Amino acid sequence: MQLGKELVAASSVPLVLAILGEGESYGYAIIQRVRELSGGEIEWTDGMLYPLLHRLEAQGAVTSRWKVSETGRKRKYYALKGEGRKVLSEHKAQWQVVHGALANVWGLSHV
Amino acid sequence: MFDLDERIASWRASASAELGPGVIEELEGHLRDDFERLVAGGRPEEEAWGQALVRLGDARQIAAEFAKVRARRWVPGRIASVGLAAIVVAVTWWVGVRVATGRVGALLATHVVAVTTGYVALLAVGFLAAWAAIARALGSWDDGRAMAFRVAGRRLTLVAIMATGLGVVLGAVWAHGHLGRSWGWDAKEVGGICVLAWGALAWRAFRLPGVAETALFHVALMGNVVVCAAWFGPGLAAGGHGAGSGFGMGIGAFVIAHAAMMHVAMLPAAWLRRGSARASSRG
Repeated sequence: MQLGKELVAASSVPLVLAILGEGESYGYAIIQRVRELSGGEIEWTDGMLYPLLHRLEAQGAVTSRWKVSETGRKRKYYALKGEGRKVLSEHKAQWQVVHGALANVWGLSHV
Repeated sequence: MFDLDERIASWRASASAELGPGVIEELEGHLRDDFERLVAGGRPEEEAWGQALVRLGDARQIAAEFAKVRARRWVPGRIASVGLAAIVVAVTWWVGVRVATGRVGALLATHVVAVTTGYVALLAVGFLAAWAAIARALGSWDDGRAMAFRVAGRRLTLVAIMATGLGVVLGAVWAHGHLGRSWGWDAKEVGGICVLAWGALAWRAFRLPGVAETALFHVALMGNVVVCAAWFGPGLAAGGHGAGSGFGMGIGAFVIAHAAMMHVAMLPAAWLRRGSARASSRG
């Protein structure tokens, strides 16, 4: 199944924030986590994640720092800030409304 | 024979025309991770490299996305910060000259700089609210700008509280030494406390996630009126009816303009754009 471009774009911010809510992470690991969570259904152009991460950082939702990983490679790690948690909870509430509405309407149509 | 470092160097050379060094560094790490994972999964190196490059995407497209990020860094927020810094530097220089020539003591000079910083910081928040309200009514408003407004508002109100608080304390210390009392509830002191209280309210509003944007606009615009009253009200009151019509008219115009702006702040998003579209369709 191919998800619509608009839906993928709309879900990108809450997905990234939710993944960072699990703990600090770096770009490649975030992409892998998205694939894992969606069972491979959500496919991003990997490079597009980075402008998104930088935008979230510019908005004060996440913070970043360069760190040498266990493999000895330098990576830029991102972590959720307090502002990001607030944004995430707002997104969560909004998506729950959408989810609830769709579940209701489809539940009724199956009766 | 496949040479990963050579491929990476070649990719870096082509990407450097579009992207900054920090981003290239980050993307290189991504490419290497993906390449290693694909090779570990059994892909031949050449194929793995090709696939990793395709997945990463074209550097020009990524650069175009980064350009959008830079555009979203809210320009009014920067104008407010730079304007505040410039005014603080100018006032510091102005009082510094007077301290150097012995016309003003260092304590009073620091009080003046602190109060000016606090008041101007709160005025800057009002300026941002006016800008944001107009932008929203015109439809050129989005989540990024809304978040930037909240962040800028929170930072500037914090500066306002700290600087005004320091100014009020220093003023009390100066009054103790020169007027024989620390606090006398005179118009300027009351004004300082009012700005401090309103700054604290605004800071709290900008911090709370559930506060509506329109409410923030109103709190910030009202902050300008409070600062105006605190700064210029004592002079107007002391002058009574003889204070000069120009000064009084200026304050009146300032308050009326802010009341009008509060009306704009209540307009739904893109209302002005829809209004002009309706007018042009009728024409």
